[in-house]
Amino acid sequence: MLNLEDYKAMFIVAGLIGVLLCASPALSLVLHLPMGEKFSELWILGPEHMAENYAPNIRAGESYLVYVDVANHMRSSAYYVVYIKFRNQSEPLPNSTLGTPSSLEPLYEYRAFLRSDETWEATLDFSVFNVSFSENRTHVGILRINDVAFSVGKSALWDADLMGCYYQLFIELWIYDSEANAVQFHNRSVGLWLNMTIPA
Amino acid sequence: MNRASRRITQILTFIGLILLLTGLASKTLLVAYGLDEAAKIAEADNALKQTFGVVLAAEKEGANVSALITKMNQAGMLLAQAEVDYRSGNSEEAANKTAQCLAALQGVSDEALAMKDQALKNAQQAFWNMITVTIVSSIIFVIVLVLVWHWFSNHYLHRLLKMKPEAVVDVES
Repeated sequence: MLNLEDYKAMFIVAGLIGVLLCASPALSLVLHLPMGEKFSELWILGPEHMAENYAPNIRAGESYLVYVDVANHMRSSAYYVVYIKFRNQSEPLPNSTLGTPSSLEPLYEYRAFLRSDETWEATLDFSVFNVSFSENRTHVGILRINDVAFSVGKSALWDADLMGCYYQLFIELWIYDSEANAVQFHNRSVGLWLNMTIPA
Repeated sequence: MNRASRRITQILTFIGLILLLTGLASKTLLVAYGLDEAAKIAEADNALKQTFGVVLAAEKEGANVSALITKMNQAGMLLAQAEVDYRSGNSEEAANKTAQCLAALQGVSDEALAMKDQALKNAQQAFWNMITVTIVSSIIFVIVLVLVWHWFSNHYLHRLLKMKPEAVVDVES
């Protein structure tokens, strides 16, 4: 059997635990426990809202649809800018190691404000025009994105490994940094390889 | 004849000069217009960033900024369209969209500031309510615990005093 001093110690411990429990809501205002990582997501989906049928082989004059999605897990509202860029095999991509964007000028862009844990989606409808083919290269004159035509004038050489003349439509995610008061590259990008094919 | 041809040459030179000057003037105007457009877009871009900064500050203080985010999205979409129109050479539409963007942003900052003030007041009130509840509940808990302890220690001592040594019980039996 325990003696009275042991019971007294038990009551004191129970008292301390009880007081801490009573004070826990107030303590939570002062003590900030570490939370999970802050991050954003960027992805593209095919025309059926699935990660497939991204139209790798494209033809001049035909329209192709993909969905661009962004999710905010920054634990506060965020301001995103999504840049659409177009390149051939030799032009620069974003550098994920250095966290720098591609030096190419954006053609199209979206701007979205998302609350924490919110997802945003937009359609990206594109088509190419003024396409010419020669022996080992193709040339794209105009790229139309969401009914806005851009004069791109890019050529791609025949890639013997991939068996095609590839261009890339890629998407960069930028985010507003309140401390810098600037929209900065968020080191997230996705791209679609587009093989220009001769119309049947 | 010689005089007439000289006259024609003079007239042609004059027309040529007029055309050249008109061309230069229109080009200058176009460049100026383009620069003006770029400046207006930059102004709208800056306004969007500044306003979002205020909205973010209001959210940080606990304000519900859902309605403001909807307005920001509207303004952001217009600015994006203005940028795209400007890049594709449609300066007129870009100017139109930039103006719409600036109009959509009007009042958002003030609304966000008012929300921030209200959220600060609410947070302060909630803080003092929380402190009061914590202190009162802790005091009640301690009083109850002390009372329980008194009852328990009395009960314990009473039970202890009523106990008989086992050896005495053995002798009696």
